[in-house]
Amino acid sequence: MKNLKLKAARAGKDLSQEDLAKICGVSRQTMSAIEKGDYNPTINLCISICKALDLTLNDLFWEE
Amino acid sequence: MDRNSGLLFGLAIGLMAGLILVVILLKFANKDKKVKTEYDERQKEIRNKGYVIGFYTMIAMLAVESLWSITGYGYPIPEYSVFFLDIIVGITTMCAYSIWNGVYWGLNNDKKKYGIIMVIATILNLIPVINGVVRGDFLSNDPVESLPIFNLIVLAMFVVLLVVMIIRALVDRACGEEG
Repeated sequence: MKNLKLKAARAGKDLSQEDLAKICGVSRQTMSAIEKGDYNPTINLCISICKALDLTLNDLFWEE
Repeated sequence: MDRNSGLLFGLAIGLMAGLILVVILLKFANKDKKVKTEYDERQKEIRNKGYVIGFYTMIAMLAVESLWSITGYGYPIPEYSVFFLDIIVGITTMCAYSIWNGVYWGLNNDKKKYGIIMVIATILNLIPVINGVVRGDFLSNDPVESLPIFNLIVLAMFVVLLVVMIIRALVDRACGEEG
C-alpha cells in the first residue's frame, strides 16, 4: 500500500526523494520504494524519516 | 623454472597485483576514500537475495556441466575456462538482479570515477581479445595462448550488466521520481 502520508509530508517540506534520502542516509530508490509501499523500512529508518520531517511515527506510518 | 611453474608463478603475481590494484581503485572511486562500499538496509537485503540467486545459478551450471562431462562431448571453449565461466555467470546473475532492483550505486560511490574505471577495465579486457583474434590462437587448448577467453567472458559480463543498467535507467526515467 502506498504511503501517501510520507509523500505529502515530504512535499510539504519541499524536499525531493533524493533530498530526504540523503538526510536519512539511504538511496533515492529506497525512499521511492517506501513511498510506493514496496519496502517496509526498519524502525530505525522510520525514526530517522520522522525526525527529518519533524513528525511522529503515528503521523507517517500508522494506518487508520 | 619449467613452463607450468612459470605459468603458476605468473598467475600468482598477477592475482596479487590485481588485488592491490582493486583496493587502490576502490579507495579512489569511493567518495569517503573507504575500500568498502556502503549500502542502506534495503540495498543490503536485495544484495543478499542476489547472492543467493547467483549461488544457485552457479550450482545449477556446475550440475549441468557435470552431466555434460559424462557424455564426453567436450566444450566449445577451453575446459579450464568453464570453471571461470561458472563464477562469472553467478556474479552476473547477482549483479543483474541487484541492478534491476535499484541497487546499482552504493551510498558512497562516485559515479563518474566508477564510469572511468569501467571504461579502462573494458579497454584492458578488449586488448588481449583483439590480440588473440588477430593471432588466431584464441580457442586453442593451450592454457597460455587461450588466456584471452577470460577477458572475453568478462567483457560479455560487462555487456549484459550494461544492457540491464540501461533498461533499468530508462524504466526509472519513464516513471520519473516515483520510480
